[in-house]
Amino acid sequence: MSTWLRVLSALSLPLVLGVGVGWAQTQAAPAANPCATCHDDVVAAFANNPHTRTSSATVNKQITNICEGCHGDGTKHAAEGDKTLIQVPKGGGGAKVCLSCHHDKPGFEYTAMGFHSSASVSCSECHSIHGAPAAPLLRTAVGSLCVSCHLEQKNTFAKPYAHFLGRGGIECISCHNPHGGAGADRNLKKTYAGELPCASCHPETQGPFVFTHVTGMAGNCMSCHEPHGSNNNKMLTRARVDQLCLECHTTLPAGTLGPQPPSFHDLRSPRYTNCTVCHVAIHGSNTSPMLLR
Amino acid sequence: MAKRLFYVVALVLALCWAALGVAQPTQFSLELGYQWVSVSGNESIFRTQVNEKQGLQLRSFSLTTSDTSSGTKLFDRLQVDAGTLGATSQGYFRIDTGLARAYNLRIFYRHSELYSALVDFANPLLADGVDISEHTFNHASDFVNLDLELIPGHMFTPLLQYSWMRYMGPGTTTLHTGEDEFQLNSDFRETVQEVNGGVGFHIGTFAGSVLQGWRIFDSSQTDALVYGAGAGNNTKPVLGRDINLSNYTGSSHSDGTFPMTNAYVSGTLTPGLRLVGSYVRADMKSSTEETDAGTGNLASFMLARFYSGFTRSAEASSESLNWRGDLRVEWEPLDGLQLLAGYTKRHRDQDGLATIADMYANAVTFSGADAKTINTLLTSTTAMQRDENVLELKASTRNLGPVQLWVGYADAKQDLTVTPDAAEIVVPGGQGGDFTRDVKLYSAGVTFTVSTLKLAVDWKKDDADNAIVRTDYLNQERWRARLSWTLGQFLRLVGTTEKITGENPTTGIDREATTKHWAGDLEITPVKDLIFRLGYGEYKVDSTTTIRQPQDFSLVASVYNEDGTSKDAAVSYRFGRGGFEVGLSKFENTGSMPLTVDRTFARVDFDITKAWGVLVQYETRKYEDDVLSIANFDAKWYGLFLRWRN
Repeated sequence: MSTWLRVLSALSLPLVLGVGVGWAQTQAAPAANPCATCHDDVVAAFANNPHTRTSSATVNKQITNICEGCHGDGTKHAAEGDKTLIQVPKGGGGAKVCLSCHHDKPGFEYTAMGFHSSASVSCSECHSIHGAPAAPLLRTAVGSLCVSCHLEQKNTFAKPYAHFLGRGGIECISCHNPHGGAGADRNLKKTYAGELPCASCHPETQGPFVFTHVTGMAGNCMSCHEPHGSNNNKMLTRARVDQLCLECHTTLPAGTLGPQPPSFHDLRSPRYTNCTVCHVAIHGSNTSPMLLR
Repeated sequence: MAKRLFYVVALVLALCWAALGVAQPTQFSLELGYQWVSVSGNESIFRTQVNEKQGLQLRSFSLTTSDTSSGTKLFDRLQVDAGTLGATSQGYFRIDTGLARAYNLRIFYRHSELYSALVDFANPLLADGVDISEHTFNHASDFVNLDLELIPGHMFTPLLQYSWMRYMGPGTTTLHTGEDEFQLNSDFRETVQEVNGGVGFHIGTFAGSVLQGWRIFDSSQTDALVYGAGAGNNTKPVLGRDINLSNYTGSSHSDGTFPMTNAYVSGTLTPGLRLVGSYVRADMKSSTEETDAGTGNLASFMLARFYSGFTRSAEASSESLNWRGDLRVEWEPLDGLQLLAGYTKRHRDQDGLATIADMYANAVTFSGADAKTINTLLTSTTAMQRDENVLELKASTRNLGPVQLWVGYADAKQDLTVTPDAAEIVVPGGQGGDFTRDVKLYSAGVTFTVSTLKLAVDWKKDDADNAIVRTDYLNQERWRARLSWTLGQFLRLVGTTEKITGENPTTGIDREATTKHWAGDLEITPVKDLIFRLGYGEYKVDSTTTIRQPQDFSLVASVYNEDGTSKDAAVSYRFGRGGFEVGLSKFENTGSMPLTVDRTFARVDFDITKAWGVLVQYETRKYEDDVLSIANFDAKWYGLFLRWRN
């Protein structure tokens, strides 16, 4: 099964690319830009900007000047040279300009009223449309960009057990969608199966299992783990494993889900304070109801 | 890894050659060199926390180019990035290319090495002088993802996604059997493939996509007794008999193929009125076969027997249907005034079936009679179902001068049914039932902006009528504030503070938790290209809840505390042909896990010629565990890299 899929994928790539390239030959080259008369350096640098390929100017042919796609009609500004006569997208109004094209792109559909937008964080606070060298036109590297505001996360990543942020392509955006998404946990990037992003790198924890632990039912990965960084082993929320387990696995009259251990689990013995030595399949098991294997 | 680095460098150079041949390069940079690592103290903890490696390393590579020529061409933009490939635990390679109105293609590869060998995790023999966990792993993960969009900008755009991941490597684990635990060597391998195909559409004011995909996974693990581990963790006799395991082998295999569906649509019904909907569905399936066998002197309280060996086999299958639908309406009746109403429904159900056959050889009662072979057969079924319905309302306005306001309300109704197999219940209570929870979420925020000063304060409060698990709060409140101020290019100041309180006063749970945090960052640029950075942060976590100790049923408070500070400082300077950046940081924590982490770093780069330069990088990390000094390490890693750029 896996081999034919790989072969099929490998064969299909050049085929579909070829179709695409062939299609593209019918497209006309964009027209010369009159803004270059004064802003020649900006226009020259913009030649390699992703917007040159996908802006309404080049795609829909509704306007002839690519700059006007974001800055509006520049006729008066060009004639009089007055800076106030040209639209400069910034703040919440600027976001509307960006979203006029981007709102229907995958991953952007919830941006207009997303968490960043609500906190008055507009597109230009993270993106430099003219100044960034390459897509996605970020002002700085993504990790340092996010923690420049999210200082609590910066300090959490300083803890000894943390994800290797900034190394090997692991960035904030590996797990988070800064533009927002659907559902209550809308800042998280879900897998195609709708799982938390943890499943992308830790698939062995996802199952589905016959005897499942909390995953996706009464809790999730964050019930036990600190996803950014922790002082505790395995990025756990508690320093001792037995403490972590017993905070759920104590059945008092409260009527909550989670059975308590039998009485021979004598916590004065280190055998029983290291719960996972016996309950090795702590994320879920297919053959042991008590997650013993 | 060296072989992989060779392939990657060869691919990079081939891409460079191709790109430089047909296109006009705009930016190109390659940093290749050697990294040395020196560790004193506990190298296992260093590898668990840091895992830097010694050897040849492609530190970074980037190529951004475009082909603006007319006529036939393969791409009009090409962006290639790579970072820390070679002697490293984390590396990546990325290609992002496309041709206007023809295709967009992104290929991403990541190699990760995950290592864990701790002192005080899964180590019941720590007091006996054993200083390493019985659970370790040294796994490597390789991940490739490909995203292809054809004829972007047209009404219909075919979409293709493919990913492949392999996660594998050796480790150690434990086996609980015969009333003892024994350490095992394990070898684990899992591959996961996903292929998704579909179409994006852009019809009038509506846009969206529909993707249908499949996930294929295959996982296997083999286990064998660690040499010398036959005495187990329990050194005391069980009912007068020494327990040991002389031989053990086990294997398990799981696989599954299941479909996934993703769809979303967004569109403008009338000016100012927007509709967004999304749907995700995965019908997960998994089947498992597992066998193991062992010999030794063993005991079973469940059978009330001693026995000398066992063979076990199990077949299991599980299914989990997981879907989520989300619909929201966004309306802007006045410029700057936005209203939102959304509804989300989530469903997950899970059914499992396991058939487990066990054979115990030479089983003898505790009184020494009835030596025989005992076979047991157990068929177990499990079922769970969870539904969640969330109604969300929100209003925000940004046309009140310097003030932006938003208020939100949501009502999340959760319904969970758990049906365990009654035969499997060891301790009655808490293993199943119907659980409902209704959480009302109130939130509000205000942002005040004057010139470059921005102050944002937000508040969130959750009120729940019930807890499903003991760690669910009935009341939770969060206050958060963020201040930022810039003074031209000279100064940038950011400060944040946050307080979260949660409680569940239900008798027998008595849960209270408070998290406080504040931090500030100051960046000063007295002259162009000279930057000083200072950061300081404090946090405090206090949590308590009632637990019952199993051995005597006594009630005690489970208390967890963190009290920490984080300080960092750095200076960077760029001059004509080079620059440097040096910095240090100190992280301290007291409370339940007292520790200190000191870090320093220095980077110097210098251009020998316009195209060629050198880069020296030096980093240190010193970890001190105030309770377990055997976990401490003091490490430094430094590298010399040659840089080539256009």
